[in-house]
Amino acid sequence: MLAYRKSEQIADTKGIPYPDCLIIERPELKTISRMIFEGILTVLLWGYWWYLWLPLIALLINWIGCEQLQDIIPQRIKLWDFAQEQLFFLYVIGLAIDGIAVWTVYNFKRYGSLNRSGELLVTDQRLLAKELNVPSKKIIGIQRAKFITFLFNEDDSIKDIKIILAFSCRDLST
Amino acid sequence: MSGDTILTLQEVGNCFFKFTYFYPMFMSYVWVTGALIYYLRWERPVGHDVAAVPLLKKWPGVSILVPCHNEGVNIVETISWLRKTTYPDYEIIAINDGSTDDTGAILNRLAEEVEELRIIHLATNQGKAKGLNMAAPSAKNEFLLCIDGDVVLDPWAVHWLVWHLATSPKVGAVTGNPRIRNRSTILGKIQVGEFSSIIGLIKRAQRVYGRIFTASGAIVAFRRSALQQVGYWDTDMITEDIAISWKLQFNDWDIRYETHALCWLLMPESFKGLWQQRLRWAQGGMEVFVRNVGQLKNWKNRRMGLILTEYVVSLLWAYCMVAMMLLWGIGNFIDMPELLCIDRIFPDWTGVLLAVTCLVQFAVSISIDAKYDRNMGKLYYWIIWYPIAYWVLNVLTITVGAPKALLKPKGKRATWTSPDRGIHNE
Repeated sequence: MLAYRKSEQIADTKGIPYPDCLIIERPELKTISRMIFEGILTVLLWGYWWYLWLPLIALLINWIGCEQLQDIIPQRIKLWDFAQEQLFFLYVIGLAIDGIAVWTVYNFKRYGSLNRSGELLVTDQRLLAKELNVPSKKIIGIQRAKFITFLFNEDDSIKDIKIILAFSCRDLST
Repeated sequence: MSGDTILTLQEVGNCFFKFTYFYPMFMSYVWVTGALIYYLRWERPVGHDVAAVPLLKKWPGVSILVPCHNEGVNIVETISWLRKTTYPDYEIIAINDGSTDDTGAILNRLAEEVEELRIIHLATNQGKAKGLNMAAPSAKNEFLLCIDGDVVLDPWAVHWLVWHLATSPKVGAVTGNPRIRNRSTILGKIQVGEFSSIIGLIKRAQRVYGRIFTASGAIVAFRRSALQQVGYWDTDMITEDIAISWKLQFNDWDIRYETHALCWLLMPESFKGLWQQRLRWAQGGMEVFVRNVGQLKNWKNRRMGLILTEYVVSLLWAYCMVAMMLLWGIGNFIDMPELLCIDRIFPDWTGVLLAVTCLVQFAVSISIDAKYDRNMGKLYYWIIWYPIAYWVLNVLTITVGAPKALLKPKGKRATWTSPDRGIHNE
């Protein structure tokens, strides 16, 4: 696959290329009871799936003219009657799809060529210090610290902040 | 009761049944249409090679935040894959949130080996939101990329996410494209389908509309100034990712979805784990809705109106579905009045319409998402009936989760619970 041609150079420790090395497919981990349960569930849900198609099957049988099966799977409601009944539903869907398409075109026409680039915002360091309830001059130290430990009061406010910088050990208490 | 009143009740009952049957199918076609527009407009022109990252003169520094609680099993793998990133300027900040296992010790050891890795220890379990609130001001860089402690990040994902933040000042956050790793069980397989056919389609469709319900907490990049403006993460919200997404959008920040920014995560493979996770999502959605619904009074927030409306209607549908299933179940044992009689679930041609809708939805989603994953076609056998299972799960979790959210004491801190990470971890 083209999408992973370059990524196959990345592999895990066993040499399996990415992303195959990340997929976990180990059905042998399932217990027997789980396998049985999943099998039954799959059969039931597939059975229900085919049950949904019964009217179409009945219509085909009707069309083929197999009279014996027509009694077993009668077509309760004719397709044309159903379609007429659902016209409102189809109109609503059509309206919604048209609405989405129109909205997309409108946004593209109005904003597509609009240059909304401007000055990029940068966070104020003073406000960051306020978030951690420390003086402004301490925030740089926290942002450079290798290890930071936060201790909290009972009301979940910050009680203390301890930092360890990369090349020195220093306790910074607020 | 007069004849006219009975006729009116019949019409009301008819509307109720039709709404219950057709609403999910209606939404399915809306999502499919939106996803196709997104794909044709934004995705196909760029191509699908995740390694062919967009160009930028200078890539700004990024701080990758990894909140962890009891991630001793997965954190080494997460950090080792972060080191494979092709992004030129980054730091990794792992937040050990009061873990009771050996997560703290493992992180301390890793920090000695990995120069880019910094560690934040929270002395007690404060919750993911609090952990992120501590890490965000402690980061060196303006752009923050938050991933979960069990997530494996694609080596090129950071480029794709940062490109949006660096080139568009109005973008407050960018969410990526999570893929499922564990596929050993039927639950694992159908969740792969879910992430493509439901979550992937919904996000694409919502991007076309211009507002997103949630930026997935598993992989999302933020602009720190945007976070500061909205007051960072809410610590009392059980789903802090939904809460921050709405806060940003209500403050006129744009949230984008980048399909090339992949990450690989572990999802529950037990029914109990899946139920707990989905219940949390349902409860969290209701909490965020209750907190923010008043903001719609402001005309400038009108674009969030459709997202909230969709949420309310889906809530209503869930309860209608429960009512319908109860009526059908009771009707099998007791003679019901004609007005309340439901003789079958998805009768006749409605069922065919449902089946066709499933086929269409999965055909579209798999054909779009297969470019980012492996063996999607093989999963078709397991996931074709998934919408039915999804609807049942959705209905039940919303039915239980919504009242839980309404009854939850205000201001109660949302803390971690150790999630199910698949049967290979058992």
